Amino acid sequence: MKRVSYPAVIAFLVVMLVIAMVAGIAVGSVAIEPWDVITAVLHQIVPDLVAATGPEYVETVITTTRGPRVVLGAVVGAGLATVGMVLQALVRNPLADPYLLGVSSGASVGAVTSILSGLAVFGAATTSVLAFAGALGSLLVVYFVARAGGRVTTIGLVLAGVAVAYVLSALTSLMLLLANSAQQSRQILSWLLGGLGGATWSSLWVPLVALGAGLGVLLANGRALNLLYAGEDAAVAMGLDVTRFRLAMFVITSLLTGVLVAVSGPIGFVGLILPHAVRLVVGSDHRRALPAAALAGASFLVLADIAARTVASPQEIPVGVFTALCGGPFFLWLVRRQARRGVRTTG
Amino acid sequence: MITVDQVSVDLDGRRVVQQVSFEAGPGEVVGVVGPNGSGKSTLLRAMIGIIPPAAGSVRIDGRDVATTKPRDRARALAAVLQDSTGDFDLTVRDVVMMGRACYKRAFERDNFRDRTVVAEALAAVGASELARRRFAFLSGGERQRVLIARAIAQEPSVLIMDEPTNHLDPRHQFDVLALPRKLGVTAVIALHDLNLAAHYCDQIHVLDHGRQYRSGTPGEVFSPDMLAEVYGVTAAVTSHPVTGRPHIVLDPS
Repeated sequence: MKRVSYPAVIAFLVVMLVIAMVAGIAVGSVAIEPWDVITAVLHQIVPDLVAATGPEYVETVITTTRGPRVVLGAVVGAGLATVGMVLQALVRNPLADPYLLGVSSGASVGAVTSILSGLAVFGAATTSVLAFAGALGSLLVVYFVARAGGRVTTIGLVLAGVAVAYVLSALTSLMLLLANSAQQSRQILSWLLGGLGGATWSSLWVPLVALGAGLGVLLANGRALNLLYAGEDAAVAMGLDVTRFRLAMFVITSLLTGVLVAVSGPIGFVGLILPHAVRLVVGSDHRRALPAAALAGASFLVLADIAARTVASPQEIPVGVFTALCGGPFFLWLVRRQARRGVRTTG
Repeated sequence: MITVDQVSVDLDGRRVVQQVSFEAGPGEVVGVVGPNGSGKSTLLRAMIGIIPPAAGSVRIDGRDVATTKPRDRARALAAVLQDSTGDFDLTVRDVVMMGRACYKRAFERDNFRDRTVVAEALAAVGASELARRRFAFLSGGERQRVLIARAIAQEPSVLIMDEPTNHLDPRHQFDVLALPRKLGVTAVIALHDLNLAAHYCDQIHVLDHGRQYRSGTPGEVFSPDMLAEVYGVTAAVTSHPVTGRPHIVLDPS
């Protein structure tokens, strides 16, 4: 099978991401010239070498609103695509995604609990910590329910994911109804719709560090992740301690999902679409596919966010609604394709 | 060399393998035969380290498998199991390269040696021309050969194979079963085809309901009374007109 050269793909994705991020800052209620965006950003980084060419408000827009929003979009997109790819290997099913498996719903329950209760046991990170706990809990439940009977089937996985997601979103709705004040429920509602609007530089550190660390650990384990493709028994025979490794990967993916969902709300389908597209181009080897998925996911969510805030402008559509509109049909196409393949191999 | 010492295995609280003992010396090819459900696969899975034995131990060159680190074990013992590769786009080379994982550290890249070993493993099973093909689109026989190449890429001293001749035409069945001897590795092979077992194995162990019914050379093991008692079939055991090995002729009536 002939493939495009890997460095070329990565270079293309980096250029894509830069273009998407510049566009993300340039496009909006007040449009900014792309060149002014580039000079203003470079001026922020190396003030002595580059002078900003645009009007003065450009700097304000970049530093206070669109700048952090675009960076958050890139971080969340990269993280969700990465998590999706790893989950697909873990459950050995190309239809896995943090949203579909109920992991995001678990994280939501955790995050809403923290908003509602005003708990601050872990300081500013409380929402992230509870979201992580919720994500890990729901992932373990879905996995073990789907695995009843020995092997994880697509149908079992999707059913378990849907069931858990339903129960957990009912729980979230219930908590919303029981909210003490109108202000609290508004806060929860806007968060639940999934959006990058609330981004500030200070809220970016936790997701950024989590993404960096998570991606590093996953890349270090790229070879072991590849072994999971071969099946549980074969992976053991090739020297992988599957039980331990899988648990470690569950913790890392839940941690990433929890942290991301805590800042952006549940955003679906990014973790489904991007890993697929990336595998088609660079193949399934995680050592190559993970960096590509992260870059592609980052560009995708930044672009989706641009669309979400411009198509119905001045009204802003939550970006989660937009990704679901793209992702739903894609998911159905995948299910159909997989069903056809299944027929071919068994019959 | 691999030693199976009084091994019992439980599945769901039921004893599936009972106190089986045998040894496969360096370069020896040992067959495990028995009807469906006799515990062949379970015994093999315990030998690989997939299921811990309920009692007894498995030793490779004197080292207990249960206390050996998985990656150290994988360098000494490789397995060819029924294929369960998922629905992912992997090239044949990707699949065979998996066999090198037990030699690699975090972030370590494939080096010249890894690529050489993979190429030689593919050549050993006559699958060099498949290297760039997509694994998911191969025929059953081609897949089986690729999985054997993957096991060879682990450079093991012991090779365990569970029904490796499934899906293979006669030519490839012969090639696969001749391979351990060609490579000089110790092999333990579960087989359904008794004539293939008689031809290729030095020692044969017959399992019946998890018990070791009989063990010995093909000439000692295969007899009409064993086939009647263990398999419930009427058969004559003659000698192969060309090789002189025991040859089983079943009587379906």
